[in-house]
Amino acid sequence: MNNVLHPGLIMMAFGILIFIMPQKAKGPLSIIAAVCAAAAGLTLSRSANLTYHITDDFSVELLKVDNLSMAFLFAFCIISIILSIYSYRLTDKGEAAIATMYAGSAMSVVLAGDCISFIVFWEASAIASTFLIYARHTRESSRAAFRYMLIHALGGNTLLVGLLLNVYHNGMAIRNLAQGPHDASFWLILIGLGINAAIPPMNSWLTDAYSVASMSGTAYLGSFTTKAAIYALIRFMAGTEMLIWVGCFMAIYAACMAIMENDIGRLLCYHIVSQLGMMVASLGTGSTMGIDGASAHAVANIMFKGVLLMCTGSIVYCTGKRKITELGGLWRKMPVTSMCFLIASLAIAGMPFSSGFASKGLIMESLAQGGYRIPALFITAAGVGTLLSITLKINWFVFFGPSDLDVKQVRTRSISMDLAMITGTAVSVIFGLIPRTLYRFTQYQTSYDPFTMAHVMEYVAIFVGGSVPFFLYLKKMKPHDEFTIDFDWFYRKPLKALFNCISVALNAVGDWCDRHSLNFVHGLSDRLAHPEIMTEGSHFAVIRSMSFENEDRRIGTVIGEAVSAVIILWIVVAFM
Amino acid sequence: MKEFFEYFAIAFLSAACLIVLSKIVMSSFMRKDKDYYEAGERRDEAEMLKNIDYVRVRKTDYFLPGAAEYLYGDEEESSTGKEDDDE
Repeated sequence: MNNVLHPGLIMMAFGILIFIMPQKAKGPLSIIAAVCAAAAGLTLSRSANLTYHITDDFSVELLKVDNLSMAFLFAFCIISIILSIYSYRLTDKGEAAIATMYAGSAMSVVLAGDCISFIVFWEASAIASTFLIYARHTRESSRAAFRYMLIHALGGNTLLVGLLLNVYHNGMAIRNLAQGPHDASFWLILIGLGINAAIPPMNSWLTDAYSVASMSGTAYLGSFTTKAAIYALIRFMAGTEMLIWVGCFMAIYAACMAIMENDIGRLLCYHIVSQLGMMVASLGTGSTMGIDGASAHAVANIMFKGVLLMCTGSIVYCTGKRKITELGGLWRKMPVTSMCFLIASLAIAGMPFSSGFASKGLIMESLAQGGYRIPALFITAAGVGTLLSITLKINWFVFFGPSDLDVKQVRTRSISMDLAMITGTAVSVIFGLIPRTLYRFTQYQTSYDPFTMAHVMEYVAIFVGGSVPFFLYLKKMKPHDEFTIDFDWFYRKPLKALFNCISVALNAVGDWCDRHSLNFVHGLSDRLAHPEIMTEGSHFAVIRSMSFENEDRRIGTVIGEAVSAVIILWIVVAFM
Repeated sequence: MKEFFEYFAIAFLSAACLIVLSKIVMSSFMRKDKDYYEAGERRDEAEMLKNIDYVRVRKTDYFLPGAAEYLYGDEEESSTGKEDDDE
């Protein structure tokens, strides 16, 4: 081991400590854990590495630092501090411990120096996140956690096989596979990462599971798993052109789903997918600006999406309601939440002088530079979808629009929740006003000025042009109290029915074998004990009465003994 | 200014297309009752709970001829007879 502090392992150690210590200590310890991880991250130099020697010949690189890993590490550290403040009073110590370990494993994923340590921390993060969903202890969260576990087991195992093939052919180092041969390992790694990055049709686990986790759990989940997947896609797949179109489909599809959605949690989850689509499209270009656009948008997204999820948690905590149709006019009752949500929703839509504006500028520029005009149009359209479904729809119907509903507050939110939301919003605003700070969270630290007149006018036009149809179709935009099915329908309905049929058929076969084998064994044992049964009442009875000329033994007895001997031999051979 | 109107038109058309696509086309086959999955799952669970019953554990050695008599003597036979009567 080298003399280096590993931020991820520090978080995980604190997770264990929180679990051991009394309930009162979990709040302060969660914050201290995130601060210590950030401090450890600051001590890392660009050449730092941490190697663990398992045997003399075999070692794994637990930590290897470059600009990209540091960018994601610090984004994870900042959001961990904010989320630990947010969940100061919300969680029990078990959930706080799991959340800390989950954040630590996500940090370890982005710091992993080789494929083996990468997959180990990747799986650790999947396990911790499953418990985080389960931690709400409701019927729906338990069921969603089980489905989440199944999907991530599929994704994790696919990735594991792909990585092992890659290790066998190319060694343990994490390398870009976009240029190499598109062999089995490439496709398996792409599918494994794609499942975690919620690429359709494997996207519905995200809306299914994240929306039913606890208030703080949703915020934690929304910040780590998918962003770690984007980090991994940048590492392994940057420059895979197919991903540009995949990203466009993700962005548009999820934006459409979000427009239909009534549940605020599910709506925001669809927007996680939509924003991930933009990042996937950007990293698919493979240019330095595209890669920087993906990582800058991931970092910006961690902040403003974190704020949006915290605000949603705050609404659910205070009102006990999560459906847009049951909410309205919250501006007067929850001014801090309303303002933080408004600022973060403007950022996610790319409002000039917001963090989304700075990061989306890089994405659009990378697509324009690569000559991808149609994908750029799709990404713009997806941005309009974000404007419609979050910035306009939620702000209008939940906070600022006219409402006849008198939503009662069942609980008062704590100061720590407000403080976390305000801090997250402040970080997001700083990224927007001083984009240089955001661009430092990138691999190549591309020099780009988003505040050109053309770029600002472009986004003002998008805001105005996108808002007009919303108010024209205001009645149509009002959500309905219904459920929207997604790709999970395929495994929750027809696939489930197929498995039920298979299990019924297998059960019938097993039952038949069970009954008949018992009858067979019973009959066999009877015959072994009384061999003459075999000849009784059969044509052997005729033979039985005959006698050998030279021997006074009945032929039936001889046949009976011979058959018994054969059966005994058969059983002996079968058991050998 | 030309760019402004160009992007205004793109955004306007995109918004209109997205609203039509999601609120009319997709919602016609993707919007379901709010209890869509839960109702089926609850029904399945009720069906399974209905089948829950005490399972009589039978002695497997009973199938070996003479073993039951050897191990339990007449007691086994009388208890078996009682069970059969109950059934």
